[in-house]
Amino acid sequence: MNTRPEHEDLKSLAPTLTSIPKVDPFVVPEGLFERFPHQVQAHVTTQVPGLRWTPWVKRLALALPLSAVLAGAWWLFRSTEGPVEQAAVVIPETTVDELELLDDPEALAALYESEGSSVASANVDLTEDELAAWLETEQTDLSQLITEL
Amino acid sequence: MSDMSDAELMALFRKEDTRHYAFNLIVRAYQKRLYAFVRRMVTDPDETQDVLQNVFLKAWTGLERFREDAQLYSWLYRIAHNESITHLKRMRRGLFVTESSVIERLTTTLDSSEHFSGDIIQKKLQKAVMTLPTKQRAVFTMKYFEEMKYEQMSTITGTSVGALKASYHIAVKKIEAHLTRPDQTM
Repeated sequence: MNTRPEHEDLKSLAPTLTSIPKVDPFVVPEGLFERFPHQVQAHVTTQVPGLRWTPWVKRLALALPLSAVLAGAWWLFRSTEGPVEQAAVVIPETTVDELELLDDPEALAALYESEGSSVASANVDLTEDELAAWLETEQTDLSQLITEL
Repeated sequence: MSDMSDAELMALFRKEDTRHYAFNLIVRAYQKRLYAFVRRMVTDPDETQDVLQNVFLKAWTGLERFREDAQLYSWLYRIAHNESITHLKRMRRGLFVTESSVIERLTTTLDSSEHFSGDIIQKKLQKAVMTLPTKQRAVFTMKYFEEMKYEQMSTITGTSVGALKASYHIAVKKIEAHLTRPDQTM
């Protein structure tokens, strides 16, 4: 309630206003206060429980898309910079069978034929020792080879 | 109106099986006082009902977080204050909406005897209140009609007591000037 000095102040400040009786002139629709609690209750029971926009949820809702955009921008920037590191060379694993195949002269001859020029054009320089070892392994008659050549 | 205290109502609300019952009691306990405030702010009975419904729906979702060291009425009043101001601000939105058109709309219900039972001077007073800026209108309504203490008003509005006193003083002077103006006849 207003204190007396406050009321006196008001009376001197606004004599016309204070002369008007304080009543509630607004007409309340009939039966509103009987109906209203039921209306509210009906809304409450049908209300789908949703996400509550607490300050924490608001901050998260802003931070998540922002960090996604920043991460995307960073990724794009990095990919347009060019290769920073050389990509690792992937060497197919050579199996033991494949290595054994190379020891097989027939298979090697077949490979030589199938690869054609690429294998034939391969630059193979042998040292004298390597050449001697090869001739010995192949049991090639050196004088016959010279005659043929 | 329920005879239960706020603490008893809140204890009932916190139990899952009596939550709806407790909320119904809370609505019944505070609807009339909150309606009176919202109606003075909004004036239109249908719009008042919509605003008041929003107030209680917000209360329903926020009541779990309500701290019992505060008064339940002050807390609900705060929601009603904010909702009323939001509603009035929303009315002012729009390209061709002017201040005078909003006041005209607000005072329309005062001309209908179905919605307003006051005499000429009461009508003049209400129209003077309508001309106040939204927040000042809330301050005037709380202090003059509801005779609320400045400290409680400060809790509700989040404004300092000094600022509220100044705002009320200016509002009273404006209304007095409006009431004594000879050309304002109703």
